[in-house]
Amino acid sequence: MSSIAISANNLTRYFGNTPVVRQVSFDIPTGTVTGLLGLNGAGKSTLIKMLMGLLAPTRGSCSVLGVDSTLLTPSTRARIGYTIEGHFAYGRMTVRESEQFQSDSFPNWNPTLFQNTIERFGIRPTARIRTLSRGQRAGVSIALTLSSDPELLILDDPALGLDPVSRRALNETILEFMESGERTVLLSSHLLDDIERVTDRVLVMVDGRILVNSSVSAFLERVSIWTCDSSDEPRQLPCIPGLIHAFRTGRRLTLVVVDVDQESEAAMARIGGSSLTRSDSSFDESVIAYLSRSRSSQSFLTKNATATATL
Amino acid sequence: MNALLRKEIRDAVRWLPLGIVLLGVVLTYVCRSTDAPQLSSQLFTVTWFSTMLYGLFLSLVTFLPDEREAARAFLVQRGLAPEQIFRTRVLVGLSVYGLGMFIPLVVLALYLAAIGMERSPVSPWQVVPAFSTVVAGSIFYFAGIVISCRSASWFGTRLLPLAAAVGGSFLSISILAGAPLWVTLPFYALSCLSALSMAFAARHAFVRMPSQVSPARFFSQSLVLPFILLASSLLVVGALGLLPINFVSQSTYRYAFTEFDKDGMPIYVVRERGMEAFETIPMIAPSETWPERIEIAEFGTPFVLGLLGESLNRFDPTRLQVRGDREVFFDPSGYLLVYRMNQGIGSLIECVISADGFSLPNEPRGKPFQKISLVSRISTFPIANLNFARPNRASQPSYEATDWQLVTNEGIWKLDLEKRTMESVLKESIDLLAFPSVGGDAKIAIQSGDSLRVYKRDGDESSKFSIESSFQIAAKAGGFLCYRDIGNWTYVDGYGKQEVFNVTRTFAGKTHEYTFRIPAETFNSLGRVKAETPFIFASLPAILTVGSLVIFDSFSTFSPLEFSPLFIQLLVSITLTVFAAQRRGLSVRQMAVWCLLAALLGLGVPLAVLAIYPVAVYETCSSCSKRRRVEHANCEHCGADWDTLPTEGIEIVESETVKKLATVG
Repeated sequence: MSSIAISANNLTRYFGNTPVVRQVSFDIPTGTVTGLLGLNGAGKSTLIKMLMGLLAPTRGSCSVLGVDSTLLTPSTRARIGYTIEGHFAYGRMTVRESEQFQSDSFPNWNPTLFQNTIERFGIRPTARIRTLSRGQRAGVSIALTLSSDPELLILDDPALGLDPVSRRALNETILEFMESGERTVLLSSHLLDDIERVTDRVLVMVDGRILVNSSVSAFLERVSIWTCDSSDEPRQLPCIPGLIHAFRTGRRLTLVVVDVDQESEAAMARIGGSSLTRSDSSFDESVIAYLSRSRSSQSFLTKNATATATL
Repeated sequence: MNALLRKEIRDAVRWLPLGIVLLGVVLTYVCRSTDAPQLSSQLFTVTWFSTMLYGLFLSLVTFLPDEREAARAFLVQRGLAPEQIFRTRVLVGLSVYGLGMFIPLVVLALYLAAIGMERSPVSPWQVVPAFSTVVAGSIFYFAGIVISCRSASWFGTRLLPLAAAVGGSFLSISILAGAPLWVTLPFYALSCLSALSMAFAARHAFVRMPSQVSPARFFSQSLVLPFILLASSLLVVGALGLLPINFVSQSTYRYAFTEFDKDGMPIYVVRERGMEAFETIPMIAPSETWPERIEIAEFGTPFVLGLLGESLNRFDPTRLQVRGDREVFFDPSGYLLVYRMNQGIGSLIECVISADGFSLPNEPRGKPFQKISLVSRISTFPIANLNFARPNRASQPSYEATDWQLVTNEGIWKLDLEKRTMESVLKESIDLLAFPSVGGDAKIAIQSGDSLRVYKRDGDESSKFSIESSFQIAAKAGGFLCYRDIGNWTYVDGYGKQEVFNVTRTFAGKTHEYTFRIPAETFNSLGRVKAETPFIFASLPAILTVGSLVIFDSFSTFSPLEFSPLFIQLLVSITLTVFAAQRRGLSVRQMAVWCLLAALLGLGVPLAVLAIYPVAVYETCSSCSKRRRVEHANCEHCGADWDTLPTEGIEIVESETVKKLATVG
């Protein structure tokens, strides 16, 4: 078994003249759960489609389970579980027929796991897919993916439409799935709580680039959040090395900085003076700081909403 | 695999009734409104349209929904090769298509068989061309897959493969032709080969591994798809370019006739759409002087010698004659079928005539006829109107029917349908037969080999002929004979539009043979070819037009000015190809190949380039400041790599940790 489950090297994809994924390079080791985070349109799904060999890269290369993604064979595909964004399944089929349709194509099919999973979601096997609620359909999709007993699980927004209980169940399932230690999960989601709960590593995509590729703990160690009282607008802030994001709430200015050193601390002190304090960094705040670089996270009602501080 | 098969069957079978109803309805309509002699061609036509509609519809409704991103991912992401999925889908789809089209045809064939020849001159064999077009029409099913799976704009080139499907399937019409089997079968095989090519293109369009999507790999297994797109482009451009010909030919069509003056001198007459003579040229010997005044004779006995033939096609009976309540058909198997109309019941077969006598429908038939006179038909002489050359048909005397006579390649036979007897009137080998255009049925001319004989009727005995004249001519294919007596006759070998005629003239007992060449200017003004030359030269592939000119040695008949549309086409197609190749970012070598193809194949090539290659995307190279293709790892101008994206100082990348984890793993 390859020690690198997923690998991308200078992976680039254009749609027309627009680069959607730009020179992305990363490796995901076997036996890890990696969260893929990014705003809508950041390129997460495009990246996953290229990994799955459904989309040809414009430039660069990628591989899964040691096989070039553009040359995935049926036997390799059978080792990969892929939850498609939007939880697609054939609406005319019943749940049981969907299971038969999938089980026929995956040699390691686990019917018990499928049965247990759909029971957890309260789905009758005789129900037609088109009559199911969005959450139930997500349940079927997850059951179909997990029951193939894959070595590599790629989940593209699997929690979409799931209720909190089901989300919790999904997280537990992923953790349980990883118990063997030889499996790998790439989980793309907007739910930061879930990502923090189940992932070992995190990839943050911003505008088609990967800005963060690290373990969750290292990520939290290196990102710090500072607050101070200041009348300065974030846009007018002086240069602070490592500043990811700055935003104002009333008179309170919050600064998110990576790899704080003496120079950046001094720069922040010049703004906040004695009011400068370091807060506990949270996964949510840190990720949102990265994501807010390309889009404001302020209230839609706020006039002249802007948050990005240029370095 | 079984689950996939079940899914495909369920998806496709629900459209089966649609095909059956579609073709069933049109077949019912056609059978109620079409005469037996046209039945197979009508069935062919409506079946061809039905295969187009149903084949396309079936593949679009089964393949298009699965081309949505999520559906495609769901279908492909499994332990089955895309080829297996494709084969399963096509197996099911073709079965449904075949059933949808064949069931109505089989029902019709059974119905025709049940009616039988006794009730109507129809046979189940008349459904054969429709069956054959269903097989060849599978090209539409595959074209639908290509249209569904090929990534292109609906308002651009997405529907382009349809043109190749129409062209390929239309070749199957050859099955209707009365030509020998060895001529029609290759055309039909070509039609089936087109369907097979489209099937390969469909496979490629469906499977499309990301590693195969690069159209730069022209000489790969994807070759068939570019070929289909190229053929489609050529057909579309050719069809659009030739469209104006229809309007042009309305006003410029000129016909050539051979007529005779009062002395029997042949005259080459050019008419415009049946109007008065536009040009008259006496077909004199080189040594003769050009007469000052030419008058086309209103009298004389010109004959047009026509070939005896077989049935018009190999499936339909040929209606020879309707007289009274009787209809006589020449069956493709070589028998004459005599039907009698009955009110309320329709046609009922009365008897079958074979070369050696009459038989009842349920009796064994004798020896079939090989060839009969389809033009003169079974008739009382001279019912056939053979005078293509002279418009004065009203001057023909009318004749009362006395008996029925039949001309075959073995002689002339007198038939008595009441008594069911068949008597030989004239027993000799006949290749060509002619009746005089004026003068009634007093004489007939028969050609066999190079011997031409004129027979005259003996008195009022319509069934007796005696030979009046016999002469040798160097003719094989038929032509015009102007006959007065044994010492005064003229024979012109050939019909209408040909450049050189062999003329044999006997005047005052002296026979004079010579070759007459139509003046080039007159010949070039004839027919539709010259009038439409600009359109043909401008729209058809240069290799086709020039090739045909080379084969037929016709270069000299065109002036350099007339070749100008060809040169303009060359210039425009090469320019457009360069423009299209640049937009698609082709290399110089690829561009040169396509320009060469444009020179040979014309205006369809730039369209094909646009259809085959995706739009090229460029970015400015930071090293040489030139535009470089985004697909290439290195700049095609300076060889530079892509710049590393500028870091913002906030990136968190733990590659070392990954290496460590990987090592541990």
